[in-house]
Amino acid sequence: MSTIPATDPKRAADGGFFGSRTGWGELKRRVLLEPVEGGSRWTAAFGSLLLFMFILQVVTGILLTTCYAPSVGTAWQSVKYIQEEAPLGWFIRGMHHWGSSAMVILLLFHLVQVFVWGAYKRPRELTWMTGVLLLGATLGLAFTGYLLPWDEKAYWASKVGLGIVGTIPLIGERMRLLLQGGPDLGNLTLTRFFALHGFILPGAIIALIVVHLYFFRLHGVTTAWWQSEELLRSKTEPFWPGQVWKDGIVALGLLACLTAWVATHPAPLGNLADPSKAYEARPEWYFMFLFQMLRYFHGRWEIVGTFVLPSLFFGILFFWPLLDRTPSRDPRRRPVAMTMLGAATFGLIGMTVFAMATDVRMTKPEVALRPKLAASPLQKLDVAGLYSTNCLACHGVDGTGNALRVALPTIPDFTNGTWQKTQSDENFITRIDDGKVPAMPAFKDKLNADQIHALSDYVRAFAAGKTEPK
Amino acid sequence: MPPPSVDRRRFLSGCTAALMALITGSILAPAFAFVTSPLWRRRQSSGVPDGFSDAGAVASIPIGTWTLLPIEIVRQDGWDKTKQSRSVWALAGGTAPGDVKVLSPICPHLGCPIAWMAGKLDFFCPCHGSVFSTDGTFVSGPSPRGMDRLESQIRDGHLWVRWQDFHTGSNEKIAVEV
Repeated sequence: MSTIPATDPKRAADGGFFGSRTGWGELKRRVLLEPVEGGSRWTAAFGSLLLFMFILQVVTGILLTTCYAPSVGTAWQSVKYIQEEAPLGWFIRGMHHWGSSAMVILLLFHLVQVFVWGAYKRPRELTWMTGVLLLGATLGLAFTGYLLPWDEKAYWASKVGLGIVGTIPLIGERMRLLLQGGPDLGNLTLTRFFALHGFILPGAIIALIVVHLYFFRLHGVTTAWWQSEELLRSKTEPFWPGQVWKDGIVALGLLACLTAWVATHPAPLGNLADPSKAYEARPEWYFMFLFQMLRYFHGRWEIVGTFVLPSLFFGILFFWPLLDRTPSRDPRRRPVAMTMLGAATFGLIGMTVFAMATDVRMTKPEVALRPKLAASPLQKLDVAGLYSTNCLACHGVDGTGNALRVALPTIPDFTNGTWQKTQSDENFITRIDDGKVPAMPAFKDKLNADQIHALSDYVRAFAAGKTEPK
Repeated sequence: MPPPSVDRRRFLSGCTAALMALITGSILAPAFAFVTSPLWRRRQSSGVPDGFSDAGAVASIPIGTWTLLPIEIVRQDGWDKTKQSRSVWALAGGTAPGDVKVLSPICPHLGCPIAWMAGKLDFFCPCHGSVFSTDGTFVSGPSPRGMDRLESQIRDGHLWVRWQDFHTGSNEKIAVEV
């Protein structure tokens, strides 16, 4: 009777006790010792850097979940605790916050490099397409992560972001409701965004990375267009350790830069979200081009900015390998592709810089566009009372001055918008201060500067609400 | 024993594929229903019987100028029944005690809070630059309609406002169901 050996004798001889049981030798040969044509190079480090950054985001993200509680009553408080009290919390959150920006920048570099190298061409079309999906999932992570601290910025930016989702034809409102989890932003929005940010999107990214890397290994590194086939074959070396060493050096450099940045720039946390307070919502810098674009499409053309152009852009990007079937990978022989790349890069960077440079809130947040005198000081000064005591007798309860117009033909009509526009604020203040011939008395001895300033605003406001709202 | 026929193997293969599909489906169906529940779930009422909130004494609203008044609304927010703060733009006309106009500060474009520019005599959305006139009608910018008027009532000298959200990005003023 013959016995069947428990394992393949060839494998038993390979690598001793551990190797024969894990198949490590085979795994190492396939994953690490794969020959790279042309040898290791610094320019091939972007992909590995992205993987490194993703792992860093996963690690810091998991650490943050140990202190974070997604609900309206606890989200902001727990992030504040992480930022201000938890040991090293500011550092972990800083790495996660700024790491997301670093990841978006690296992704764009990787994308541009692959585009210039022509690395999306046959047979690597699917590698490119999974890469574009990874870009989409990463931007999804950026969008969902923005809400989680539940500060003012997070609340309003997400409200606008969900408003953009709502403009998608046919399914927009349903999609918004699905993401929001209810009729308005609240607890269920936070839990849903948390699930998306912490589980669903990272899961999708891990799956996509596996596929992306599988395709990458299947077809090998795309060699540069200036290298000849003979040269490449003569310089072939294994992935480990040459390429991994270079990737590691670059990753360490990035880690050092990021750490230095985080040490000097704490991750921002604004005031607790308060839907009753005015706020100038702004997205993270890498969505500013989209923000700027929304200003240009009015009324029913709105969906051009919110939906048509962005999906056209991603559609072309995704299907680009199928649209550009020319065989050459040399950029000098691909004028159309290079022109499109140049236009897209110039357009995106230009829009972003323009949006940030022209934005009042970005340049001078302290003079943000709020009413010059907020409601509460107006009420504290009892301007209505001041007006009643000092002005009403002549100018009337409604500010028209109609009752005295027969006797005083020059009395202004405060409700007249055209007249108001001819008057400067200084004009108002001077007239209340010093009076005006023939009948307006001087008030500077009777009222203080604040009161006069408030009255000027009060008079200013008479032109408001002259007509019924529809 | 005779070898299994090709027909039998194909039949078993089909059955196994169907079994796998059944298992996948029986997990995915409730998962799908759970995740999409905001779309089909029966709505709960918003708490306060008529949905009106007290915005303060009418007498304290300055006459003739738009004022941002804070209000409190009661909402079922997931597992929590919460008091939430909102604010509304109110304008007292001064001709009659009940003459108060109330506008929602939420921009009909994409939902930013709209500011009243006392110096320029118009409403301005600081996000994407929509401008509305002193009565809230649309003047310029990306907004598809004018500002949304909110229902209000005077009860015992107090202004009561019925807070509602309206669909953004739509030409028509359609209330969001609560």
